Amino acid sequence: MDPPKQNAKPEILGIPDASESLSIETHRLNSLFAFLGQLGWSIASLDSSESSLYNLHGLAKQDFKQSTVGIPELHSHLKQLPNKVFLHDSKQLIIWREKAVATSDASEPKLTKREIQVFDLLLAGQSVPAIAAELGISQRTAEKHVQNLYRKKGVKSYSELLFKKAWGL
Amino acid sequence: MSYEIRETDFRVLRDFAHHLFLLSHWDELSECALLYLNRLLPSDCICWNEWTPAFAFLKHSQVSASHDSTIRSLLPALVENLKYHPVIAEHGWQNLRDIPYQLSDYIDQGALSENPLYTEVYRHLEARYQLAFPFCSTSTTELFLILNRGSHDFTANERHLLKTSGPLLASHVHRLHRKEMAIRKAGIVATIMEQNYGLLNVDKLSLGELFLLKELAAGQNVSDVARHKKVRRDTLSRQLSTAREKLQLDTNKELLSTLRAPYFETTV
Repeated sequence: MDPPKQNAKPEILGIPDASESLSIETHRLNSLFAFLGQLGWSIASLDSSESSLYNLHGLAKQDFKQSTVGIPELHSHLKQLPNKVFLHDSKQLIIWREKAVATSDASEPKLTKREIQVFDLLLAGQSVPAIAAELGISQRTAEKHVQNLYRKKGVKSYSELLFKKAWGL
Repeated sequence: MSYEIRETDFRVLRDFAHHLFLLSHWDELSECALLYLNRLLPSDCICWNEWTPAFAFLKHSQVSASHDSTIRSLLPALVENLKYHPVIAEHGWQNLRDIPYQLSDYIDQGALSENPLYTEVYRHLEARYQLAFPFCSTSTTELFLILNRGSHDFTANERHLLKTSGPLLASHVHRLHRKEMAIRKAGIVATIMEQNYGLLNVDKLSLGELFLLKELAAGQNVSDVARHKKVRRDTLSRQLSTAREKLQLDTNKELLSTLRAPYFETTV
């Protein structure tokens, strides 16, 4: 057997390099970041081994068009955002987004007053029977309002209404 | 320059590596390192020191059991007098490389006896001869191994042996640090989701459940996701129910509505 040379790496000793394996906790964190990103947040997470580098997730990845960024670049980017909102701001983890107002597409048919009320209650997570009870209308009428609302917004499902149309994500 | 590792040392290194693989918590690292390094390079006292970045504050220190009670009372003097360490005095903290520094290369025995760090600290740890090894640093910690002997110096071969064990140990330091940071950051995300979205226990969700929620938040429905992932719709519906239970929500509608961005204002 040849003796290991100076600077012998773990793999020379017949053992895989542990730094290459990702723990389930790291996968879970990446999934949480992906989830937050889908909700419209930008995330910069300090690299665990390189303390001058942030790993980017969510919308930040699109903004920078890369997956990592140095501390000065990140701070100058954040300085330039006029209406940012921070969900978290520490050295290890920064989560932010641009405060935005979702507006209806101008080409969309206008909602009636009743449909706006139904829309608000749907966004609050109310079921159709609960909306009917809240507005003092029959369940069938509430269903009709929801149907018209979906048609006018051009969506087929509740999740589409919530995340695609209502918030423009 | 190459050097030879004896068969017995190679076995210790191999066992050390295998033991490191079994560790699942950061706190277990120092004990494992002290155990195997003492087998590899028998020393009078081995210190494992964890400093904050730029060596501003000593976070944790562990020494061989024989000196454990001594070191507690010496820590304040150690921090105060560290600037007199001959290696640090010559190179400065910022310029240290991840190689073992041999104390005798920097100071002779006569001068060492006069050094404030020796008189206040090292003399109690039998640290006449020393290998100081800043083997690894993470985003939150600078790690230092100090091997001390009272009667004879470390050989060049021993110095190489210590250097060889550095990357071995460092890869597991990074693995466990990454794990610890991931758990900590997931905890932060969970708190944020609870405070801003009213969603409890997000960090308890499985990877599959998180993926499903992400897709739902993208405006997909369960059937779309099932088709895309090539799994049965029932499987995903069950997964969604499990996620809902973990999040302590009653209906899917309630779940979806809580995911709405809290910082948007809507106009219709």
